[in-house]
Amino acid sequence: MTDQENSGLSGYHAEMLAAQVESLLSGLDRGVADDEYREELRRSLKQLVDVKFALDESAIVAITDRRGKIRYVNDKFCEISGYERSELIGQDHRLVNSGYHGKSFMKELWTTISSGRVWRGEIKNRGKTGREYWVDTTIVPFADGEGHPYQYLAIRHEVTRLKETEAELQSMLAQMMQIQEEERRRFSRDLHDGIGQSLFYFKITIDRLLAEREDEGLSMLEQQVSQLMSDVRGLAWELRPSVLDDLGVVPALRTYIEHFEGHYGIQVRFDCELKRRPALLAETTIYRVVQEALTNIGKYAGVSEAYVSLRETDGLIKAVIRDKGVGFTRASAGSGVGLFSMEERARAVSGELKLHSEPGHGTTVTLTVPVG
Amino acid sequence: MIEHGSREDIIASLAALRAEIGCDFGAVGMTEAPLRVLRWQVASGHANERYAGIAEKPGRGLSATVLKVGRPISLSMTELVCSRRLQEFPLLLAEDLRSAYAVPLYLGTSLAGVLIAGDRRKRIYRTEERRIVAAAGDRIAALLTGLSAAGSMQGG
Repeated sequence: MTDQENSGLSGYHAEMLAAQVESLLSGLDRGVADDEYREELRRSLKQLVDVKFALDESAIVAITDRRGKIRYVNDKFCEISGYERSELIGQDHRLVNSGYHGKSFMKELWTTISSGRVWRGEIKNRGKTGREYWVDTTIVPFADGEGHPYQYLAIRHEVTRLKETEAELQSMLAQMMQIQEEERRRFSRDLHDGIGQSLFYFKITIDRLLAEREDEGLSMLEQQVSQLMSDVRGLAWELRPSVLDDLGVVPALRTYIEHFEGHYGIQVRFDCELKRRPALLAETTIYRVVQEALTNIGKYAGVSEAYVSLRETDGLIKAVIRDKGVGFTRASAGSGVGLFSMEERARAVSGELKLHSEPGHGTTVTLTVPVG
Repeated sequence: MIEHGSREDIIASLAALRAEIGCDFGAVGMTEAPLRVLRWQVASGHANERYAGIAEKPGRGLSATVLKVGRPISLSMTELVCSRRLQEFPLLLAEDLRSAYAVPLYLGTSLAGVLIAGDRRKRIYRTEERRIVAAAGDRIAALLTGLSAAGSMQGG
């Protein structure tokens, strides 16, 4: 079916995006008497035609009325969605809705544009064949004399590959963190059970020799071996405390906090109301996020007190790490990977990380993860 | 642990050192047996009490430098940030020091602690100033030696 056959609708859509410009241009000589004015008008109209051509060549364009009914689509829209123009005109955008975005997302979009403001964002749509595609979207409301929008111009660009790459990158990061954690666990075990045990036998041998006869050199050696054992244990613990696997996140955090207090000279109030152990991945995430957030406090907050709390409500564990220190803005936070890795860790276990900070008013990091 | 009497003397030495080279902060840290943890016993010019709660483990930071090789060291926060070792120097963080100069303290022939002089601004310590810090270190070590000798005479 061509546009001509579908004249009722195509006539309508033709009004929508400067389609009368051609006939206006050809009628200029008759319609406008003033030479100078006519030339100006001709030039402006010609520019409009060129801009429209450029827009249609580069972007997916659609116009809807104020109720959301599609009144105009360009060829690119038809191409990407797989629908004929006639199938689209008169429908609303639910036709290409992928169901990916929630109600609140759509509500926010409509609230923005119906109040006359421009909306920008990324939307996942579904074509006629079922193929899903992402479009970077800008919706511009056209307002009447009283400022009420009477139609909306949507300009879109396909960003499916970008989104796919983004998703791949995210899953790679999650995998990388998982691998890092497994490596740490292995090294930690090897240090503790391998070298740690060997040193222990070594120390027992020295002790036995010392029991037979006193020897200053030997007892110095014994001290040095004890020191070495303690260093190896410390190293293994720092890589990944075995208590995290054996007894869970709460005892692991208690020990971590004790060490933290000693290292930085900062008192930590630890308030824990967890009644059961979360899943292992969730435990690791909680441990690492608290560790990262406390390290940030030790380095930058300039406080002598910090607060950590763990609570469970409605199948969600909420970990809050808070200080009343100098705070920061994201712009001033620099290029540290800490914040980024906390967010990625949270995402990897379907959790969420929120960060609230104001210069002079401290920082609060809130991690929410499902228990199961 | 340093006893009350000598504590006053050491504080006075630190205050004198700060006046002499015009630095913001001075502190004395001692390693404690059996785990060789470094604790800051006395400070002068401190901004808060965090220094007193810090217990630095061996193998890192000052323990791995001054206390390991028995030589002085210059520290700059910028360099430590670049080499990602800032968290190994909690005293610098607690007192917000941008620059510091640390010398070892010897009790007899054994390394027992650190004297640190620091500033909350970028500073390069000149040869003369380094010599003054080293001399203050010797004076403080003498105070500590006298104390431990007196302590051992009293039977510990």
